[in-house]
Amino acid sequence: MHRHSRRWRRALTAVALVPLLIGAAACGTGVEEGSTAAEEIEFWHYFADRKDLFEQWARDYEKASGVKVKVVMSDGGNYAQKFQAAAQANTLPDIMIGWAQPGEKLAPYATQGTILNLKDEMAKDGWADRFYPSALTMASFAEGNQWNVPAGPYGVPLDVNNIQFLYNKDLFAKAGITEPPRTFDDFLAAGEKLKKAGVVPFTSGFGGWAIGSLAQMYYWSMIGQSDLERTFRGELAYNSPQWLAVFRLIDRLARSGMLADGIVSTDMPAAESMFVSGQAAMLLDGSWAVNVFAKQNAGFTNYGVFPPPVAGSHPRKLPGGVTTLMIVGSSPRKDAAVAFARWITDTAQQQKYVETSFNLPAHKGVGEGLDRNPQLAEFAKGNELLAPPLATAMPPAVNTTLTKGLQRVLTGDLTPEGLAELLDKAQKTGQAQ
Amino acid sequence: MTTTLAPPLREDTTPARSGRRRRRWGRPEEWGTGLVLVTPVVLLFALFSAYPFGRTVLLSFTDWSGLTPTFNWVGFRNYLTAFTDGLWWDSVGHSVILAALALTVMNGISLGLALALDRNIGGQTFYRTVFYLPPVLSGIVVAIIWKWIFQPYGGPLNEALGAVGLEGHAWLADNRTALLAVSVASMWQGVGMPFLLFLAALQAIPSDLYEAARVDGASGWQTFRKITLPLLKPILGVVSIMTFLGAMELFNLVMAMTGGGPGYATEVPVLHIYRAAFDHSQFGYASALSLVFCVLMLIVAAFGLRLTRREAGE
Repeated sequence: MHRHSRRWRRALTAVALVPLLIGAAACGTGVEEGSTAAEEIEFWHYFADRKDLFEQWARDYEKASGVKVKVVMSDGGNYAQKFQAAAQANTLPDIMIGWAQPGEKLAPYATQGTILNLKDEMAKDGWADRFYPSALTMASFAEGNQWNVPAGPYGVPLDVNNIQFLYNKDLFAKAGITEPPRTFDDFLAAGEKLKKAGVVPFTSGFGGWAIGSLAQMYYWSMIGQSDLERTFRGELAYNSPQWLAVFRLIDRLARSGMLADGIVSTDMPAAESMFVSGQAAMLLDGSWAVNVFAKQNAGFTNYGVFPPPVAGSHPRKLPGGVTTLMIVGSSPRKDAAVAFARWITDTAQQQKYVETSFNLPAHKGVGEGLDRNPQLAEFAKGNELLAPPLATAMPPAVNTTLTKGLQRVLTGDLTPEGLAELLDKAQKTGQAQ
Repeated sequence: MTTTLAPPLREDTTPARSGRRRRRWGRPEEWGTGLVLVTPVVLLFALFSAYPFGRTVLLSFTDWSGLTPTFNWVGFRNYLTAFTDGLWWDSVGHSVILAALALTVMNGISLGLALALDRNIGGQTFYRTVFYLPPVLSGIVVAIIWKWIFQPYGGPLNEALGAVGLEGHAWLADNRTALLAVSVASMWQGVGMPFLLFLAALQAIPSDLYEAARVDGASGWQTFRKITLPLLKPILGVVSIMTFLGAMELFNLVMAMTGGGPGYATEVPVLHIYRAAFDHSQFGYASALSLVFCVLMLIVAAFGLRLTRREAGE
């Protein structure tokens, strides 16, 4: 009997331990209620290269304001999922580096107020005036957007990037090309000359996002904003002459023979390696590439940057993005978080940020250092050409169809007309084709 | 007069059934301990398996985007879409090709290696370690290695072809070779596991069977066909099921090597599901695809198990 009751006690202890352990684990992952006083805010980010700077900011800000900032770095790969899980569990921080541009993914959180609309805050003390207008636009939901999110900035711009063409000046000289191409015909002619000189003319990461960026450059300049929005709303078909002209342009590029072998399966790091090692003369890449090249081969400096060679009569726009700080609207410490964001985006802090991150500043008053790097200075000229978010965006399934379809156009597996047909089907059904 | 044909089963069978029930359920005084011991497992199973599965079934009948807390019921619409989604069935087809190659080529190589190492040659531990290294590597690492090997410019494969006067090729960028290239990488990674299982099974075959065959004058091929192969049949069944399911569930290797491209040339079912959920915000549809895929896998696994049991003479 005694043995029996001891067995019972052990078993009951084991059962009691399970919820205790689960509870303890759960407590370890969340923000402890009550431990975070008004004087402490939590800041999430995923930038390993800026970790030290953010921690330094936290220390400096505490000295300056008395507010303690707890900096938490997460894995970039799971950052969006971490946000979504924390939003559901109500364990979001007070301020964080943004994980998406204004669009479908951010819309529900913006509508619910999980992410703060900074329209009123930005209007105070000329805070908005600190930033390039295009950077602020990139961080904003447009007026009359398809998700019915109240218009305004939902992030404080920290830095911007844009995507342009880079060229190797030595290889251009070898092929007898004296200046970067201005028009699309010049671009193809340069490719021809480079091929004759035994140089691979052009590479990029067309196995991933870069092919979409190339298309984006040309659908802006050949179709224009009004017809783009009509298309995304389903009012203009992809087999319209404007769109077919874009697809035929990319088909011409594919048939020109100037693309590196295997470009449709090449990722951006491989393309960057080709360019930096002098294996390819031109590269389509983002402004961050300057930093990548400096790390890969510090001696590789004789290269330049040029905007997309002209095709079409509409204003030229560049694909790109903006890094933002998001304020969590459901945080009881959101005012403290806004104050911290204001402090971060003053000129002194932003100068440090640009020097650390090597990215293009979103802050108008921070240009020092850019002149020292001619390539960054060229990229910076593109800041005002950033393609703004549209009130109606291309549906994700159509976007996938476009990326995959363009890859197939490049491999000769699909005609421009065939691609247009697939895109119309994707727009109609909501399923990628 | 009415005749009742039913035998008085109740009186005859009750004691036996009661005895069986007692054996199955144990003594009532032990029920408490049993319950206490089984509760944590049941709770964990319910939390991490049953609930997610039930939730997936539920979501498969909705249009949930994964972004909003609300959703609408759409009945069987997601399932109807799945059955008419050409890209989905293409991706299933790609996986069947990958599985067929793994079942024949990879398992053939594994068996060959196991047979070679079963002959008491020196350095067995070294070979075992070498062959078992790829399976313990992460799929991403394997993808990086093979992407480099297949690289059009400066990749070792094209360099080697160039050295013998052959022209290189953009292996991963060509619709005709991309899936094969992915398959090679996948088989390289997967060959170690069946190899170890085959080797263990071979070493469990009593050596006196081979000695008897030798005394009877059987040739090497006859010995393999009449002794080795029949005794390997149970493990062959298990390995085949594991290989098939492994190939069908391939994801990270494809994602990192080709992203399913060029176009959809290497798209596989799990990648298609991932794309629906995370790229297109169609969690409801992705849930339906997951369940369709689950049913397909269950059918194949059940068929394989049945075949294995029949071979084992159960």
